[in-house]
Amino acid sequence: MNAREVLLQGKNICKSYQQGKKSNSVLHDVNIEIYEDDFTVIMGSSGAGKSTLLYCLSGMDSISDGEVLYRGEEISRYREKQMAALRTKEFGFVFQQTHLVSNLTLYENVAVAAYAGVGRTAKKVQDKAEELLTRMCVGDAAMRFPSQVSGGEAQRAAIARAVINHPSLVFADEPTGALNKSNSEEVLGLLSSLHREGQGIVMVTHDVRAALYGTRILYMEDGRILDELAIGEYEEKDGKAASYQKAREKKITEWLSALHW
Amino acid sequence: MKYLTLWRAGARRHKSSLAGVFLLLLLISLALGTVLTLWNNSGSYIRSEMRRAGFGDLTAWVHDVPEQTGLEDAVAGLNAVERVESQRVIYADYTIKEQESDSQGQLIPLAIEEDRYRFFSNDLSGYQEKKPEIAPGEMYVSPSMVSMFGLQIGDEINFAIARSGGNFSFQVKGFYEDPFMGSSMIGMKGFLVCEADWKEIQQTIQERGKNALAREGAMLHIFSDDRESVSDLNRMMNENTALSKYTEFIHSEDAIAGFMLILQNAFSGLLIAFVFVLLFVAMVALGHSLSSGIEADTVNMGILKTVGFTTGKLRQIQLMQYLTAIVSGMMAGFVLSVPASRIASDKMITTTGIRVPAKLPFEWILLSDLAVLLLLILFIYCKTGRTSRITPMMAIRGEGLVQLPFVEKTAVCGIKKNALYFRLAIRQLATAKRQYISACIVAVLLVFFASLVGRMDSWLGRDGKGMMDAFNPADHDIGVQVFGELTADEAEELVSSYTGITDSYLLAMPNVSVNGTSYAANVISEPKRFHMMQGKTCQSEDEVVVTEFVAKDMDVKVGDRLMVQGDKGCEEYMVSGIYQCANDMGTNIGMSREGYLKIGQDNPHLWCYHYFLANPSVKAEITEALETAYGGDVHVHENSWPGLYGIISAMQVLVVFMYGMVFVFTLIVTVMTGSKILAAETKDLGIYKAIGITSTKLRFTFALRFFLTAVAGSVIGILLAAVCTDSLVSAVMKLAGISNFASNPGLGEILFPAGVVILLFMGFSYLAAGRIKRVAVTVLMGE
Repeated sequence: MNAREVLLQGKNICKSYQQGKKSNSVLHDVNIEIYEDDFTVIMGSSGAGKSTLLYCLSGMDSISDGEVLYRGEEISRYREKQMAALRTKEFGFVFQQTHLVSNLTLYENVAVAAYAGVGRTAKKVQDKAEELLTRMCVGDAAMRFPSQVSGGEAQRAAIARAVINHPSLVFADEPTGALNKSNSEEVLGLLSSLHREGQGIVMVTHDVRAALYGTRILYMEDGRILDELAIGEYEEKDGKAASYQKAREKKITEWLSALHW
Repeated sequence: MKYLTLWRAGARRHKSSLAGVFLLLLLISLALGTVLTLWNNSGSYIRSEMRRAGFGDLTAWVHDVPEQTGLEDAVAGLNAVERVESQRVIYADYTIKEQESDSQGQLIPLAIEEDRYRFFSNDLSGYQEKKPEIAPGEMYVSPSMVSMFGLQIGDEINFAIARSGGNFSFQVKGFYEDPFMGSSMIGMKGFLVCEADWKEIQQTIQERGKNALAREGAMLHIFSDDRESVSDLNRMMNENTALSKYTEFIHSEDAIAGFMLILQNAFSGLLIAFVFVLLFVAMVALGHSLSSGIEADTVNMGILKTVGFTTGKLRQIQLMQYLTAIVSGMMAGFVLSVPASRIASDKMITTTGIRVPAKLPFEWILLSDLAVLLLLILFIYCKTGRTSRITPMMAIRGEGLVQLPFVEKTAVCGIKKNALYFRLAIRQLATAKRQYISACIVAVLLVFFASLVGRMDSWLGRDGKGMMDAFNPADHDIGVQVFGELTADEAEELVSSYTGITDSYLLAMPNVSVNGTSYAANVISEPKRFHMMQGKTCQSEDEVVVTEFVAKDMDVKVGDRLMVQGDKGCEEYMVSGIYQCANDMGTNIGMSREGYLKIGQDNPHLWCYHYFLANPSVKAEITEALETAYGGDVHVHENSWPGLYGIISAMQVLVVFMYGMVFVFTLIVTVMTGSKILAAETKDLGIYKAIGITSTKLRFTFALRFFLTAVAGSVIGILLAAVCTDSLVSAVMKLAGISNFASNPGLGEILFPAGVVILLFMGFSYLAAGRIKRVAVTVLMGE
């Protein structure tokens, strides 16, 4: 077992949906540990239950059985108010679609997440939001509405929103699912650079190229975690980036092939 | 079959909106059906009962006629008169539960052979099957005396027949339906007694002579050959017979029906206006529901167009969905209006004095419902026109009909830490204002109507002062009229022993004929006290003032001349001004004392002394003291009459009913509008939850938007009411002879309706936003 501190832990997580009289089971006794400062990638084919697992772990969705512990404290039975506090302080979210509030500017979308929390002055929030938007390369579009920017710009603003409260963990559900190749690379590059600065990330993807940026890959099938692969820190390799990426990709592809993906 | 499938699917998808439309139309149809039933039936019932009970086109109340048969023959001998029938009456003042009557009562003997009146069962739920016999010492009265005096079966009524022990007491045996004088709006009241009692009273009057307080008389029911010329007939009778010499008052069938129906007509008018407001509110809600429904269904409709559905077919399907809710709501309201009319009629008996049949006037209701239905069909057809803008490409691209509205460069009300949730609410309002316009219009309409009724209520006042001021030619605190040996000085001395008299004047109300037509004259010692509306008061002895109604009837204006005849002579007078006095439905004139004495006999008993008191709160004590000291020799009245309490309570019922409807409509409209807005904002709600904003805060923000919308609507509603109320209500009040309605509400009364509507909008929207709790962040999950 890894000696690093376990940040988030799922124990025997089961999730099923009731459809009339039928019960559709999506997660079966899933046991998972998310470590501090890790960039965990959850992969699997469509319908494997990876997004459901992400939402169950983050407290966005309820679980049918089992428990979810954050820093050793069970959060799966949290009331809405406790969960809201956790989301403002500890968790950040990035979704597949650019889920920004449509009638707020990019800047406001980022700032409102900080205002919803407590403890920071308006000036500090303003400075931080501007700094993050600049860093995400959308500083110029800060005062535009989501409908007035590209998908990539909107998703970068969404990342800024996810990290403005310095969360311990950012949950990202297929963050490049709705983006073209160049936008995808930019978004993944940003997530990777945040991770290198110590940001814990849990990302769901079915894209091998996206998985390259992770440090640890979990593979899911039929609501169960089948295997995991530790591939180490993704490094910026100026000059020989292509061959570095190819080598990581090969490693992952071979591992996935062994799992009959 | 395919239409039925789509109709079902649409009905399932929009079930909450359709349920709201169903409820709105149910309430409208229920209110409309009930009001139309009562309005139509009360009018026709009064007239048919008056005919059945033998009342003529004109009825003259005469007294002390030396040769009654001769007078009847003289009237009947006129060419325009078909026949004259008479009913014996005795006019006498009466006291119920220590309350003295304002007008004289009319004791009427119940003739065994007559089938003139119908008798209510004791609980007023129906009629007695057999005509009851009246035993000596018993009497039947109008049920309106329940609201006027709090009278119950078994109570005693004392009649002052003669001085020194000439009082007669009767026990109330039950209630009868009087289509002629039964309403609480009419001061004069009929009391049915047995023949033996009536004859004993008649004998007492004759024996006591000068000491008799009661007077013998008759009601002469005059049937004309041509019912269209009642006013000509009146003039002809005054010119050719001695009728006017003995007439206490004379009224046409129309005037009596007008008196009887004054309350129903005024309130029916208001309620019908309110129903129209509610219909407009329903259309606003329906419009919002249709628009947001089309926006939500854009992709589905685009798909249907790809498989061959035309815009016309899609509009038909939507029309059928909403028509199902509308027609079923209207039918349910129609059915419920039967018991509602019955209940309303039962509740009104003690005010109207009649039991209005609850039989629905099918042709009226059918016509009005059809008109409403056609209006709504047209409205739905127009609103669904947007369906034509939906293209199959929209479905393919997954686009909605509404493009994002954020084309402006700068955002309204920047999002800051201070007042964050207020700012978010403002932003939502500013960017999706079209969604809230319907709620705002509804708030405008509801506040406007509530303010209108509130202003009427405030004008009426808790003690009905507004109404009394409209009915009285001049203001006063207390009026004292002396009879017999009692002098005005003696009465005044007693009044002064309770409180100072700050001012006084004299008023008499004799009958005169103006250009040959009988009218009551308000003769006053200080003409400056008349409530003038136009011109100047009748300061000079050759001047008169007339009401707007008399001016219209006589076709005269300020400066014109009129011939006025009294019991002494006839003189020409100039109309110096138009004044306000709703007595006799506004058919009266005003004269100065000097002016009247040119044509009328003076008599100390003619005059009523009107006093202004230093402390008006002791009026009741003064009245009691005068009556105890001088009994039948004094008649005391305040600036009030018992029927006023009926009006005040009816007004209170109207206010309660209206606020009840405001409550229900605000609830339905808020829930309908709110659910559509929430459905459109599900994604945003999920985002806010994902960043840690709780459901409670989101609900508060949502309610805040409706609060702001209602505030905007209320401000407009208050302003509209301030501008329109007086002219609108004046139009309704003219039915009651009141031509100058002017409301001067206090700040609290102005703000109250707005406060209620704002709170209701906020409260209901907070409740409607309960579903925010059920919005899970999983709505943001990828496909």
